[in-house]
Amino acid sequence: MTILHYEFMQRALLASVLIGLSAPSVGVYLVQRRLSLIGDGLGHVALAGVAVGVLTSTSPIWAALVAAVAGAVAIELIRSRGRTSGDVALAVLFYGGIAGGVVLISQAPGGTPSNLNAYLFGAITTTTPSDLVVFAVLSAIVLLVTHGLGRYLFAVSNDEEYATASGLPVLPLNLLLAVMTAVTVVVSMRVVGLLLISALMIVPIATAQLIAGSFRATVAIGTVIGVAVSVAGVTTSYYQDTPSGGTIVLFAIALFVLAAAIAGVRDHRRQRAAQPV
Amino acid sequence: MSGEQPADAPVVEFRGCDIGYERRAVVRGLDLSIASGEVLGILGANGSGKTTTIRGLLGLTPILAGEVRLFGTPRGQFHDWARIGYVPQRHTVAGGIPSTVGEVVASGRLTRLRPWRRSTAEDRTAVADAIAVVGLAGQERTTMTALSGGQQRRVLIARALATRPDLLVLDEPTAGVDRANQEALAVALGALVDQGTTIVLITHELGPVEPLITRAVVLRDGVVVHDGPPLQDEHHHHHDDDWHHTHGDEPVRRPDLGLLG
Repeated sequence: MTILHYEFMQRALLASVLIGLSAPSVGVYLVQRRLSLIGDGLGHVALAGVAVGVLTSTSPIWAALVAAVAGAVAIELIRSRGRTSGDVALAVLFYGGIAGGVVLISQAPGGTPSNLNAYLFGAITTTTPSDLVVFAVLSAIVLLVTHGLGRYLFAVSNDEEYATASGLPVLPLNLLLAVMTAVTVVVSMRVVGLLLISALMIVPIATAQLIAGSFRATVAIGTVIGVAVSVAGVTTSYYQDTPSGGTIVLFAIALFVLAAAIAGVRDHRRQRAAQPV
Repeated sequence: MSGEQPADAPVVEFRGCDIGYERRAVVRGLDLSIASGEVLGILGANGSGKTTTIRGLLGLTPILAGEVRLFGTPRGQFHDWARIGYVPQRHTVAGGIPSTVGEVVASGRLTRLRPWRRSTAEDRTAVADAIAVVGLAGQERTTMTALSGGQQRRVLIARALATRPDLLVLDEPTAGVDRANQEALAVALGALVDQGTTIVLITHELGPVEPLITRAVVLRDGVVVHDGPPLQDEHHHHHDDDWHHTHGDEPVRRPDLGLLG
């Protein structure tokens, strides 16, 4: 494997494994709660953080983390109040984030559009050794929380009202999930990109739920798909010179279409088998 | 359990309660004391405040005035939620992620668990027992969506039983459920009554659970209009053959529910 001779590729592949593991682990709860687009919104907000990092010459990762976590907490608090105006508030937050990010980055010395593209859609050459350390720590936190407290996140996502009536700490658990989503968005920013991370949280899970018969199996299959498409996407990106985030997401969607076709044939056969002769 | 609770305290006590949202009381001036071992049926037409009453008990709807006590403790200081099992009226299978009977029932056991700890053999036994009580033994690995509506309802009852609660609160457990499942449900509830579980159940049709009910409270427009023995007068019985069910959400209402009429 010649691509492993390049250190930047080793880093990109490691980063892709980390995001491939964490994104579906968070995404399964977002899909279950019909909040599939929250990750997308947090990507928008994180861009404002990236811009601040670039302008102040600090690490864009830390600034993006602060922005995304703050955005996640704001979103969850708005959502928990259940007002219809909350929908508009979210839109303002998301578009404010991306508009602010674009304008701020344009003011940065040497801030070029291609630079912005790497943050939005992923690139294989951008992961630094220090990025990789941060990603590893953040991914470990995400995996520890989503698997260690998985039963609680399942209960709250499955039936929030029942969880409230059982005396579970519903708001803290929702905030925890929102923060884990924000952290995952930040882990994605090198190889997947802030505008495409939501797809890697959602599509592997959407694929897995077509095949799986239990929640546990959905998480397991979704995670395997997440890692497989991430590694395949980064590798293809190297050979074909395509943006890695877009390539990863296209692989994920191809698997989804394949699984949907198989599930469709299976259900059709079951229906025919169930019909009396 | 704190030592503060008098052993003979009522399981649930509403004292002069107004229950509702944003200062609009749906239930007004509710005084109701439910003793251990009672099987209380809350009856009334749609919109009479039945669901609001139990949501007030569970902390899902604000108490605007008065006080609710659970096992002798004011609800604000009550934390022993594992003693209460709740079966909501309907379950929206959220998001479409497949989940098994075992996974859903185990989510009812969480209030007995410690975070970050693995579940113990006792937890697994409690989950298996709860599934067996509702007549679904051996179906732990079945996906929820493969079950009928009535079977799914029984899974939700098993979820409420997973903590082995002292009080079981059920919101319309029989609505939209076919006769066979209603009978399975009545058998399950009967077994719990024999163990001394206190039961509060909302219904606007009685069906096979009727013989279990020891006391009936009838609400009309948010006010209690009857509290006493169940309405078992003769003129109901000849309607027993009329227990048909629509397959939709609206159960067929009996035309002559005495005080409701």
